Amino acid sequence: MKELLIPTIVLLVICAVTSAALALTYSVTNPIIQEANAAAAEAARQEVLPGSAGFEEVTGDFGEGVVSVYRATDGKGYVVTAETNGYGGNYQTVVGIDSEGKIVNLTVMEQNETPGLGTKTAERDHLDQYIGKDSSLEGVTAISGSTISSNALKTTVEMAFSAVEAAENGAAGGETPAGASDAAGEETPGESDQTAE
Amino acid sequence: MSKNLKVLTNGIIKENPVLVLLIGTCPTLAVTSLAVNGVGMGIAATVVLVCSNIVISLLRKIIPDTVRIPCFIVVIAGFVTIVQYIVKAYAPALDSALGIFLPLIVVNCIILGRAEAFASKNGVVASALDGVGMGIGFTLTLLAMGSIREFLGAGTWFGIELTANLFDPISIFILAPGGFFVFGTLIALVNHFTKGKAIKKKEFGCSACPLAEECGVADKGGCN
Repeated sequence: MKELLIPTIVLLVICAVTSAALALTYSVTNPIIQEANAAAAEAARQEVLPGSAGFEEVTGDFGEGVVSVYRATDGKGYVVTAETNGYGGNYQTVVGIDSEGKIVNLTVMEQNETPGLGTKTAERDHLDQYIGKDSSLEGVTAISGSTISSNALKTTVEMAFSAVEAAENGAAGGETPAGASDAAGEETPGESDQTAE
Repeated sequence: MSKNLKVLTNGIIKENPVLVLLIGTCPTLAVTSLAVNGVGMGIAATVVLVCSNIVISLLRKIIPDTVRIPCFIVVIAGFVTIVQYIVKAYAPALDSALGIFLPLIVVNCIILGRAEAFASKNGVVASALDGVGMGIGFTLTLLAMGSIREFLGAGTWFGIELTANLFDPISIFILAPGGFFVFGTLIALVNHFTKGKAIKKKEFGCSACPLAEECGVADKGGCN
């Protein structure tokens, strides 16, 4: 009996002390981690839709793979985070689409593609070709040798466009989609000529 | 004091964990496509190694033999998780660079191996020094491999462009086959400089088997 009891107690005590140390570390570091994540997400939104005063999240079911949809509070457009499977794992992009349905900017948040090949799809040289395109994505080319990665990127952009369309349709009576003014290209933050409601 | 110094320098060349003892090879191959990733992993693993060596050495008289492996693993996993939280909170760039290989330090053979082979049988100071020495050896190896692979495979070093714009880098070096090739070359180099005497030739036979004490036929010449 003693041969069973002592090892059990020792193991139990070691586990208990370890759990306590982990709980302590978690309570100290978790707030910092959450804050850093929120700051990174906000920075990404600002990067793809520059000059916006702020963002509010649009809730709803936008289909699988759409992580979040944010609407710029000044009506500048939408920021959509979408993900799909790339060659080596998750491929997540953040796309800023203005009120005229054209891409303002985009950036890749997460990808596990082959270094030197698929990772090239996340570089500025390749991403820049998407700027200014509308949902037809005419003229967008893939990188030879990285078809799957290029397609993953393209898929996430297409998902972003569908999400924006769904958000606009769902926001019936809420936001007036910009027909009127020169919202696109407007640099001054916070100022808007169009009625926001 | 010189005995402790010997323990410390042991892990750097003579019993380098990766190139001589051939343990901890998975993270070595996986994170050395960039020199900075290799160094980051080396430092994280060293921190865990030193801490776990110290704790296990302190507890070596208390932990019963029958549960020693679970106890070691709980201690090691605890330290790795703490390091993970700290890295996530204060160095998120390193966290996304190491990815899954940071939590995989738990099963890094070096840490469990040194706990079993050294820390559970030696005093605290010696165990700590062994951890530091092995950690330095590990980190230096990762630095060497990472530098070679990054330079040949991407033309940069720690992100600083060296020959990247001069000619096309040989991409295979940052992929798996290149990793194995560089690894094998470094092992051959260390073997050459230690004249193959770094590790005593392995004995085959019952005396070298870890189960020799429990096996009933060990002293009768084995199972044949």
